[in-house]
Amino acid sequence: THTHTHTHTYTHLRMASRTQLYTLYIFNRDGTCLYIRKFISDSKAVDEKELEIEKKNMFGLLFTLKTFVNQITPRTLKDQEKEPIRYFQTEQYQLHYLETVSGLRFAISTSPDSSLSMQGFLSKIYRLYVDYVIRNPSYNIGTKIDLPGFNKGVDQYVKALAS
Amino acid sequence: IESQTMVVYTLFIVNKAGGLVYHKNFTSKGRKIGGNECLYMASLFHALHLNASSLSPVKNTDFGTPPKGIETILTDSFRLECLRTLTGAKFIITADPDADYLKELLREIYIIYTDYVLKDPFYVVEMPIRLQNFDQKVVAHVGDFSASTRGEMKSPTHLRR
Repeated sequence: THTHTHTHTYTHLRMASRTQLYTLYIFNRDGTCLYIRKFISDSKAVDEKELEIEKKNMFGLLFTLKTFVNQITPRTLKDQEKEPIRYFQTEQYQLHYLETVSGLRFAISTSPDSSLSMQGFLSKIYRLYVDYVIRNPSYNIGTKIDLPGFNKGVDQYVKALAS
Repeated sequence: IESQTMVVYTLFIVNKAGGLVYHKNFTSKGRKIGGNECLYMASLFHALHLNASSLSPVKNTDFGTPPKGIETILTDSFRLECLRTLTGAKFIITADPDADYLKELLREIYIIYTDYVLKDPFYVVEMPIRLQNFDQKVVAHVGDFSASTRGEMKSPTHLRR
């Protein structure tokens, strides 16, 4: 079956800084997962149901995290202002986050040892998104991204980083 | 307690059910968090902590160990660190984004907790902490720690044994 999930076998892909990339997500502001890309090879076939659950759970986590961060921040926030999150970390992974003004959310999970330049990585993915997705006349904004141009752009960027 | 870059904001202690048992604001800088807001945030964090561990891209294969939840959150204005003990209690601290000594600080606060809270015969575990000794010790220790990282003290408290 044709799915929008793009899984490559990057079995031993590590960035120059030895960080292992896990999964890249792009969500829009109402929770639709526009794009999901796993960077580690999975020997078993992709289970669509599990993937849907993962997408929903990830969005829910990010949403709750935002609410929490806006509450706990020592900075007094102006009306409608949000506290920008950079990343959170557990013992097993880091989750880097970038939210645009339009409510588009980019998130990538990596191994716990990544350097803090993942914000730059997400910015680059955003620029690729603008170039290959937004500027593509056949793409409807707010729908799932299934564009070979975008996939190729992400591929090339990630490969360049690993070398 | 404060310098330009090494401000510690607030400490929260959450019991294993997700209920807040202690909180302390250390500085007059920044928004003071109080009362009900605290309780709400403690529970929120408790849920987030568990959620994050179930969403791990790396499968957790060893059962019987506590869930490996959120340890750090970094935002533009603050850094949050969480120490989860084997008994399920969580020590959460917020500070300036470039404060890098928070893990150590939390471990020492945990030691103060075992000495002044758990060893108090009148204290009931998982209940709110209302012990003046503990309060004073924590405030003093956080003050000492922040000062020592600025190079003002000759030998920080945590090294004087």
